[in-house]
Amino acid sequence: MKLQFNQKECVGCEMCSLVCTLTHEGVTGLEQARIKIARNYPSLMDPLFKAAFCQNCANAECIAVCAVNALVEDAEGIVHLDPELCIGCGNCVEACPFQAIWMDAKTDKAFKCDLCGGKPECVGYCLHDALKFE
Amino acid sequence: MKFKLLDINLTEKTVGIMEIPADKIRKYIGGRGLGGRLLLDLLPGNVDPLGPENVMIWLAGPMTGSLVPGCTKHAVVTKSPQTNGFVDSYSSGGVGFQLVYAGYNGMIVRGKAQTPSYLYIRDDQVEIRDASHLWGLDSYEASSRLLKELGEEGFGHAVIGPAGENLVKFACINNDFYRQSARGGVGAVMGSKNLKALVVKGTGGVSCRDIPGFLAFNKQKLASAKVSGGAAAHKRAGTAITFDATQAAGMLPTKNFQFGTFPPAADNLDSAGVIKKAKASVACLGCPVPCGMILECTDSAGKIFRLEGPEYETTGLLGTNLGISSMDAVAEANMLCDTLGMDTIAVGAVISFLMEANEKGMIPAEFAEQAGINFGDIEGTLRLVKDIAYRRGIGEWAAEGVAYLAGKVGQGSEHFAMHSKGLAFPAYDPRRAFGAGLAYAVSPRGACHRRAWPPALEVFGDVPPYTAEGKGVAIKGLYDERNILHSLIACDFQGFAVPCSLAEFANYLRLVTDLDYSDEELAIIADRVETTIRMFNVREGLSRKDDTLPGRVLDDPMPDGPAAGQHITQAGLDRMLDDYYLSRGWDSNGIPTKETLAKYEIEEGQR
Repeated sequence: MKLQFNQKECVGCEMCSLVCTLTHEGVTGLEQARIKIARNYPSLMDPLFKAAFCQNCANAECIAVCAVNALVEDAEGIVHLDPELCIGCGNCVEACPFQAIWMDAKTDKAFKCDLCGGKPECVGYCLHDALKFE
Repeated sequence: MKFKLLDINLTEKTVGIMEIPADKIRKYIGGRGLGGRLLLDLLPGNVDPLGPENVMIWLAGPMTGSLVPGCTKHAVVTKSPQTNGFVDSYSSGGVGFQLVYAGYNGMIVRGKAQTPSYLYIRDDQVEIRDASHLWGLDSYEASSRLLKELGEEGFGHAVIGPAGENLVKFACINNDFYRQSARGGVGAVMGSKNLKALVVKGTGGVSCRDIPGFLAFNKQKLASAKVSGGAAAHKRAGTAITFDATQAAGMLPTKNFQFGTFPPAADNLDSAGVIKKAKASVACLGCPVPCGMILECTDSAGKIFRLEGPEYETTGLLGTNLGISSMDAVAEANMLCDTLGMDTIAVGAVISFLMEANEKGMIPAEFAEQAGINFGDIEGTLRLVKDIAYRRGIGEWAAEGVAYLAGKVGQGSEHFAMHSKGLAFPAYDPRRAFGAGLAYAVSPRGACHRRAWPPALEVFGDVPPYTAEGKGVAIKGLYDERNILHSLIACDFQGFAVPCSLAEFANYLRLVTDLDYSDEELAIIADRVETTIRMFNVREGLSRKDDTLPGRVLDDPMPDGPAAGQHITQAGLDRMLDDYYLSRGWDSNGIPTKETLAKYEIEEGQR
């Protein structure tokens, strides 16, 4: 099962980001969202929207550069980030080819999509089926 | 709930915080209501709207930036240079919710910067910065350059173009490129303060009092959005579906409101025309209705370009009302207005006025070459748009608005200067729905389609359109609902997808904030808001004499379409005004009575 984004269906409402922060942080916002939508403004050329979220890469570069093993891949190929182990060095943020790991300025720890433990909230909130988990 | 507002004085170069106590929020909610209250409190009477003593109040609502459907926009409230009365202008874009994410429910901007400046807000870092290098740039260039300089993604931005700098009385503020706080000249107020732009980013978020309760209720409401025909229609064609309705109803402003239908616009400016050129649909933050259309058009030089728009009001005022049926032409004029920073409605109104004045041989000889243009003249329209922004030639008069322009042209042309209180008519001819005429006349900001959507009752509803009877109470009802929605700053459009009663919005408020209102309290607040704003205008000298409509809709029978033969008459307007004032508890001159002020607990503002 992978989280998949179809930019042609996206309307840029960012409900995915808002529900992500609400369920993970207890507030709605954009900065701490684990899925972020970028608009191609003002040119409006295609692709109009891009989504950044963890792709759970095989042989993930973030895992390779993490010195404290805060990032690990489980048996199903899902990459997990343990904030308890994270020392905030930012190497994973630099290494991610999808710009899908971010630093939390308040905690000095990295954060990324955790697929909500197997049932991503963002998918349920996408009214236009731009996000699918299958 | 309390509100925390940034309090910025450009003259003194100071940044402070103003806290709005919980009892005031409880009485006025936010947005429109709170804006009216604050403007009455912060301004003395009769200040120059373009002087440093005017204030700009930027406000979010109590749920802005949350997941409540349609709670994205922000309001800019100030004294209007176009009407000399209250104006509240709304827009989406990032400014509102980024302010909230930065920890503020809005901001007050006072004074005047000595040199061109912009405001930089990133959480608790708030700075007044030099904008000399941006002054003179069009609003898109200025935004692009500013964003590049910041070197960080995610800022909401609000920028004025040359028209705002030149104090054009209907200059707009451009938000996140394609969204405008357009009406009432809020961009000119910004220009008068030497404030070219503001950028804001917040890294925090909006808290939610009862997250499980909210998620459960929201899931139930959003389920209807997923299958909503209204949402699907807006996603397909945007606000052009309104064009289809007004064309069919005979309410479409055509050739300066001389006619109510424009057959050549079929398949061009209507939903079929939009669909032909549409590349994508876009929604505002957290909105279930993607009403923004990305169109690909070709300009007069043959260059292909994309824009978000034109939306309905623009296809009306820069299209049919100018006798223009080409979407390419309307889109080019739209982009020109956006980049120069002007309200497309007001620009359309002055140009259509000039076209009709030319038709009737009324253009003063010294401007004959510049303004002697006919309906349908695309090249002349584009040229005049620029002349207005830079106040060249007749643009100097036109930049003051259609009421002033008609005063200068004279010869009885006031009869077809389509405005109320100086604010140009939006794209609905009220001869097709007399209540819409009342709504234009009594709107505190002047002719306005957003406080009571003109076709709501008399085109789509079962209220008889061609009578004054019953309209006072009916229009009050529409106003009261919007008074709550616009104080919450919930977009009216979310209702197309998520039917959400005021009681359901009250439930959202309970789940997200500590505000808890009964239906009865909301009804009282709706009245309190309208009467408070009325008191601002009364202090500025406005009264019944200003709740007017142009002679065209009072006296001239509609020549074509389903409303053929209809006109409102002065007696009809008087009857509607009497009924409306009575329903509000205002006297026959439109002044709120002492009893009404006491009933709604409205304190008088400064003198």
